Amino acid sequence: MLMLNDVERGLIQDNWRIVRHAALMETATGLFYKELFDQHPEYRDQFPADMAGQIKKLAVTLDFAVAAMNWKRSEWRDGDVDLQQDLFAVLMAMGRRHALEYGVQADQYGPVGAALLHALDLGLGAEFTPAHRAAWTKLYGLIAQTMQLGAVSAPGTEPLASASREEVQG
Amino acid sequence: MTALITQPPMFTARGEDMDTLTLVQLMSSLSRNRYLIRLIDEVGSGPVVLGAVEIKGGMVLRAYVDTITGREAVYALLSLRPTRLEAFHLPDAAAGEPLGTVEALLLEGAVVQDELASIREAAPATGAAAPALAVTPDVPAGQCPFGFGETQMVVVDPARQGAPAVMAKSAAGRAYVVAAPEPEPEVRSGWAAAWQALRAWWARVWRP
Ligand code: HEM
Repeated sequence: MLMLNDVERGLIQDNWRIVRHAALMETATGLFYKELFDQHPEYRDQFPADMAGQIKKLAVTLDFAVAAMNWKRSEWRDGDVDLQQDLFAVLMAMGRRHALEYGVQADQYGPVGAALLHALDLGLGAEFTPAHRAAWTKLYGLIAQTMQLGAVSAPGTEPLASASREEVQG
Repeated sequence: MTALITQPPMFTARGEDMDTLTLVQLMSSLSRNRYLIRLIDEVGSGPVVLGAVEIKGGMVLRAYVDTITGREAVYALLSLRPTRLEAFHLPDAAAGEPLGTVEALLLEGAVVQDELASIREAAPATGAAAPALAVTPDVPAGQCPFGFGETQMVVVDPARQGAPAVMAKSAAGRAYVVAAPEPEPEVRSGWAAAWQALRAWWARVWRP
């Protein structure tokens, strides 16, 4: 099962609360890029020379992702948002930009995920237990798969003619 | 209230890039919006809508395969291998009772799939030593593979006391459904119902 359950969501929220309170967000993303470029110096040229803005953008995105996922299954009826605020839609668009504008390849998502886990491990220490690691690994998998879907899918066109037989109970 | 979908899809994905099971999980994990995923098969005569599933916030609200609806339609949808998926973001509406959580329905669907797969794997091995037809993915044109008449594509599975196993192929030529023996009493009701649903669906959509 790719999906996170309520317990796993809770573990991610716990970790992220610490990262936020300790103002560690940009430290963690800074550690992330350091690890990424240590392991993969060949990725460096894809990024801007000054990484400050980039570090902030990644931190803001992770913050948004963690906040957007902060709901319990029992609250499924609520939380409808427009697509600019919808994590799934935002990640699809971001994946498309990554492929088309930044030239990111699908095989780069693995090393980026490893660097993220490494940064969380360094930043959180004992708070980053194996259960936390497993939950973050799942979350990263969901994010990376959605971004990759955004890279290969086509934006909507006209619906099929046969859509006229499609009925939705509202 | 019933509404026709008139809006364009939010996106379309090719079947080789994304499958229904994964897409349902991605959307249900990351969003509480209401989405409809439609499964399309591009056959010779043009695209055909195989079925659809509607989800919100980790719940499956509705599903259908042709005129089959409910939980059985979810299990049946997981058997289909569409060439294209279309995703629609639907305006939120007061949702009625959902069919169940995505996790529960997918797990039940996986049990159905496992049972079907084990039948598929068992059939050729047992078929050699038994008075059974060989399993072949080829369905002659114009024949309903779920039928039990002259045009059947039935193999006898001695491991299951001679219960029939059935293999199907899409009109586009890709094998995508392996159906199960006739329901036995000990077989889970959902599993049997899914098979019946697929069989009924095939009978309806088959255009020789
Ligand atoms: C979970 C995965 C990822 C997240 C959340 C993420 C997040 C971001 C964000 C928020 C931006 C700012 C611009 C924008 O929103 O389009 C960005 C830009 C960028 N990302 Fe990612 N990214 C991820 C994966 C990757 C991967 C796998 C690579 C490949 C090495 C990559 C390379 C880049 C590059 C090259 C830029 C553009 C920098 C620039 O020219 O300004 N990202 N990323």
